[in-house]
Amino acid sequence: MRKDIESRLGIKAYDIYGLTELCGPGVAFECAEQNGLHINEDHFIAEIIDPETHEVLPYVESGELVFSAIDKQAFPLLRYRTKDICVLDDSICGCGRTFIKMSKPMGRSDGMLIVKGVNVFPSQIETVLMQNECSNNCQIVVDRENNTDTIEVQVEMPVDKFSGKLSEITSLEKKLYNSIRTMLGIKVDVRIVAPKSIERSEGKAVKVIDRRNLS
Amino acid sequence: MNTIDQISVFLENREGQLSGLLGLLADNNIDIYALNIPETEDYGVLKIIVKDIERTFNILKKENYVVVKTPIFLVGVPNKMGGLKGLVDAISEAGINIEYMYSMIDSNDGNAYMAIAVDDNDAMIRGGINRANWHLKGTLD
Repeated sequence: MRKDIESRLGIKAYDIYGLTELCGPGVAFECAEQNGLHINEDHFIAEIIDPETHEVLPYVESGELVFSAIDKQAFPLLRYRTKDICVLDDSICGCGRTFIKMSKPMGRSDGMLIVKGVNVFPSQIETVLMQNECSNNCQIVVDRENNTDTIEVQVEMPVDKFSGKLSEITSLEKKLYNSIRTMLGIKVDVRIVAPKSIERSEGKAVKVIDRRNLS
Repeated sequence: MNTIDQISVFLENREGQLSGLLGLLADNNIDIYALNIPETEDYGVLKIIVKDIERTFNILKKENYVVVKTPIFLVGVPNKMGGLKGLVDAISEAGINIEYMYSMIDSNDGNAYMAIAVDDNDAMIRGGINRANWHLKGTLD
């Protein structure tokens, strides 16, 4: 999407990183090198931790980004976990700045997806499926078409709900669609698929396939 | 028996799905007497009439197909002009709604049959669409 914006408008587009709890946009900025975002270290101390053990990891290893705000006053934050997974890079930058760089977030340690700008937790979708006795096996597929996110929930046809009537499957699909839409506030395609057609996943109940190439 | 069990199968509308199912039936020497596939988008319900109903049902279930048996009427249609109209008229005169129907030829007796699903099977029998008045198949041989 960036390349598209740059070529069509004849400009350079730079990424900005921030989070509301710190200061909003302005925690980190990209420089003209466009290969990482310089963290404003005069205001924030950045660390990368292992989200499981909470151990601080060396630079170049990916983990959860943690911030401590040095000069925030009314709302201090110490070692605040962003849940964003990224890598820190302290090598000398071509632009001459010495502030450490963070990569673009590569994912979330809590599994949260951002779809069409909306925060989506797979557990929310799972809740709706459970309420409708459809959670035996399902997966969420996120993709991007023409710079717009698409999200589809694939649910295996519940064997005991099959009456042989097509209209009942269609209305189940509609019911799930409406419930998920109410829960998330965005339109999520629902597709009923054949039993055992979704690969079993270990541990996590809802499998997420994110085909967007966001880097 | 006035009715016969049709087997309904949930099938995704993807390449190879129908072929896979037909292959499974062929491998198990199951002869399909009649088959119906409605127009669908992502998925559909395939309906088949076979001789070995129980065996077919169990084989499909074992192979993880979503299947259900639905009692339908398999009515012989008189081989003359207006034969089918006579049958449909008899059903509608009994105040019964046809949900769907499809045709079958039995190569053994050479007769044409209609597989008919209605909203109320008992009403069909009470309404005269029964063995006394019509050639109903309860089994296939």
